[in-house]
Amino acid sequence: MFFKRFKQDKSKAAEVVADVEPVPQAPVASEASSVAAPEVAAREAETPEPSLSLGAHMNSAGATDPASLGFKTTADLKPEDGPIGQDDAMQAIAFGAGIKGPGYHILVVGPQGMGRRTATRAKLQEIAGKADRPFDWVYVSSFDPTGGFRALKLPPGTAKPFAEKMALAIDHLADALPAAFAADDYELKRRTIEEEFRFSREDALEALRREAEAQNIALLRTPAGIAVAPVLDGKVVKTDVFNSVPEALRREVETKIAALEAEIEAILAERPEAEKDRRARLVALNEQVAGRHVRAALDDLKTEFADVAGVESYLKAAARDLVRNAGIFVAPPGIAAGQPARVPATHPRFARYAVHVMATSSAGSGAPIVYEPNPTYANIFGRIELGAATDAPSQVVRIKAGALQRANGGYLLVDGDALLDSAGSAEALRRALEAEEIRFDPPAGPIGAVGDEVPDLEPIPLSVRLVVFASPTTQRRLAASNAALRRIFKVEAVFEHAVERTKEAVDAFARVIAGVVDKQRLRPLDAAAVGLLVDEAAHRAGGRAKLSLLISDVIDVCREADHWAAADDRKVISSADVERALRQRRTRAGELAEAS
Amino acid sequence: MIAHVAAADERSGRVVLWLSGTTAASRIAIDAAMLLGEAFEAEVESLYVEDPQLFDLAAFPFARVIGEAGGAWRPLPQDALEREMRFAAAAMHRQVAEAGLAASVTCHARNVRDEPLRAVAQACAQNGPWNVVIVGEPMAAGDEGRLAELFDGVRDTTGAVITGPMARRTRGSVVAVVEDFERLGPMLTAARRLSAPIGAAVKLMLVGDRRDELAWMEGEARLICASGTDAETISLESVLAANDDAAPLVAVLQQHGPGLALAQYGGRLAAPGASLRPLASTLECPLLLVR
Repeated sequence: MFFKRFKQDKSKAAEVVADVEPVPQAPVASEASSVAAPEVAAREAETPEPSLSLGAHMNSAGATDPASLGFKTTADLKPEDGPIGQDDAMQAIAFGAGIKGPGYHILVVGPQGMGRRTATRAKLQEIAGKADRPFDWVYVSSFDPTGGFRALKLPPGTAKPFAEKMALAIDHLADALPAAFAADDYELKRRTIEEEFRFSREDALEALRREAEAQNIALLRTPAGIAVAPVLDGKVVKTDVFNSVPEALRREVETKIAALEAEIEAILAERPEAEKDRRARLVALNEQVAGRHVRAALDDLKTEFADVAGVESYLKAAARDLVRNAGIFVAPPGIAAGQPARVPATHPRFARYAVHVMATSSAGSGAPIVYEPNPTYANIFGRIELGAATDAPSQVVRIKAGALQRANGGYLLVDGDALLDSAGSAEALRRALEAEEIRFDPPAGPIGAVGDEVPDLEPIPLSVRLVVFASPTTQRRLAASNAALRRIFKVEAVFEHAVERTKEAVDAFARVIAGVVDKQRLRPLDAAAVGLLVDEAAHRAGGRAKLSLLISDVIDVCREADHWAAADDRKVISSADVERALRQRRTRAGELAEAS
Repeated sequence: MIAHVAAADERSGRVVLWLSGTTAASRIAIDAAMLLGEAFEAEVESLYVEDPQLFDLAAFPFARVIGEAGGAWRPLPQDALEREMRFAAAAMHRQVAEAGLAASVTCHARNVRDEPLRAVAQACAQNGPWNVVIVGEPMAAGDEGRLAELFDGVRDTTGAVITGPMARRTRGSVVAVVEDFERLGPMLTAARRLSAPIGAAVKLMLVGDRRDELAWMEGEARLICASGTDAETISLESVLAANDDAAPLVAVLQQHGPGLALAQYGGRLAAPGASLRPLASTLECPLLLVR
């Protein structure tokens, strides 16, 4: 460990310290805590180990010479993100990202904390920025009995306007249709049909009643239905009176009753046919009234997307469905008496007219790059949400796009460990990549209601480059646990954990630190502090000739050192702050090791 | 009740909901009963009348019945009729009780076996003069005779509420159709009270056959309305009736989308002996006909 390496007898250090050239940041170091300062002095006074060769910017004591770095603080440097070195890895990424043809998925291998993701993303952005924007995709109802969804391919950037315009059309219809159905001319026509139906039977029964009355027979309504009885002076004849009349007369009455019963039966038998006719005429009337408004509402959309394959047939199907179900736009009577009853356009009953945007892009965005930190099935393939209206069965209210849909036409970035931990989604992802289509087949039901079936979603053609970040351990785990998945990575980009400690590498390291300071909004580090971090990186790399590239550690040390500088109210992070941060990290690591 | 109670500023009366033993009661009629009960703080008597004539019919060996929806004829023995009536009565009373509970109106249920009009008349006579009869069974186009018999045979009532087969709402404005100026005050008061529980607007539809008479009536009506506290909620419409045909009047009335309409029995809208077809084929709300 860094700190142990420089730990020595403080009395000896005191002897040599007078001969050593004072470090430029000595006044700052003296502001550090009383514990840190002597130790820093001791480190700088240490004699280098003769067996080790000197690296770039290294003084005769084996430590980085701050004066040779060529800046006072990192504020003097142009910040960089890295990576330092890693030319082979970056070339592999560029190759994998740029090559045409399927299957060139990229496995980025290297220890964590080296800035693999940042470097990979930067390289991909460079390439994706020059690529064409992929087509947009939306899901729309198929309006068939299966309740499934069709995938529509739209020109880049038009999915959201398409969805918004469809929602606007539904919103418009939510206003227009109740008004149309409340209009007087519709009411008149509807009532005419109803009246014709209702009174055709009543009139026939009434005529029969009068005919029967003339024959001293009455049609009576009972709780069980209609009955026929002999009457005298408007009253049903008592049985004893009836039995007292001659049998011939009785027979005659019974014959008349039987004939009337047959006529009643015939009138009632016509009802189903008449009912069918009534329904058909009402449907035709509704279609006539609603059709006009539906066509007007969808007209703009139809014109704007006239050239897009599939849109016209979708709008036709939607129009048919809207006309057929125009009744759902009108709230049940009694909600707003005397006024057209409007159902809010956001009501779940209109959900089947929603356009679910699966992939879209904005102008100048190029190919998409999507990083999915938690690659569960739902996060990768999307999910379906169901909503239930009190007056309707469950409806798909939302289809949420997964990372795969969003990355389609570009790059999907995933952590190898997280992917292997979600075995189901890893396998589904592999199948999707091989089949080159996104097929929604979730292992669990949709969100909303238990027992609801997952509606069919038409598969969407898939063209994505998968980029998986793996440590060497993960790489081995991948090969052992999912060989089929391992095979899809035709390109491997290996990030070295350390680079040669050349002057260029040290300078680049300093600029990366400047980048960290910039990004994390920290105080600038003085040259001595940077030197200390260079030495730490060299130590981590196992010798003075190399530099470790574990940037995440550098970030943490910088952040902690910034904390100590802030505690002492200093505007620049000194070597003492870095030293203190390093020491405390080691202490914590030691305590953790002991505890475990 | 109603107009008289309203005119006298009485606080109560009784609503007699006449449920015949034949067919199902109209839900709109039940709702209208509750509205009246609420408005006049009156109790509702749910009266199920079993017509003895039906039992006379059931006594015949050839008595048969066919369902309203068609099907086959089946025998109608007395015990089956009795059972059907018992169940029908129980179901109707339960429906009324539930509506009463929702509207916080006290309801009483009673079954009687008697000649229907006599049973209703007796029920009204027992309760005093401030009754209104709600006819549970929707009136058909040819039921003008039944309605006339109701007004003739049941004396202890100030009016009757009827519904047609097209009835579908009790929410909406309360429209009073005034054909006789002398009735304007009481009908306006009744309309105001009936509109209060549902917070509905009151509309006056003044009907006359002479322009000058109609203009005078409208002027007087405006004066009366302006003297009230809620003049702003009352709107007026004058309708010049060319003849005694009820159909145009019903069409005008229907345009207001009323939740309840008031009219005088004996006027153009419901003349004794005139066919009920215009009302039955058009009106979508209950109609309170006052004497």
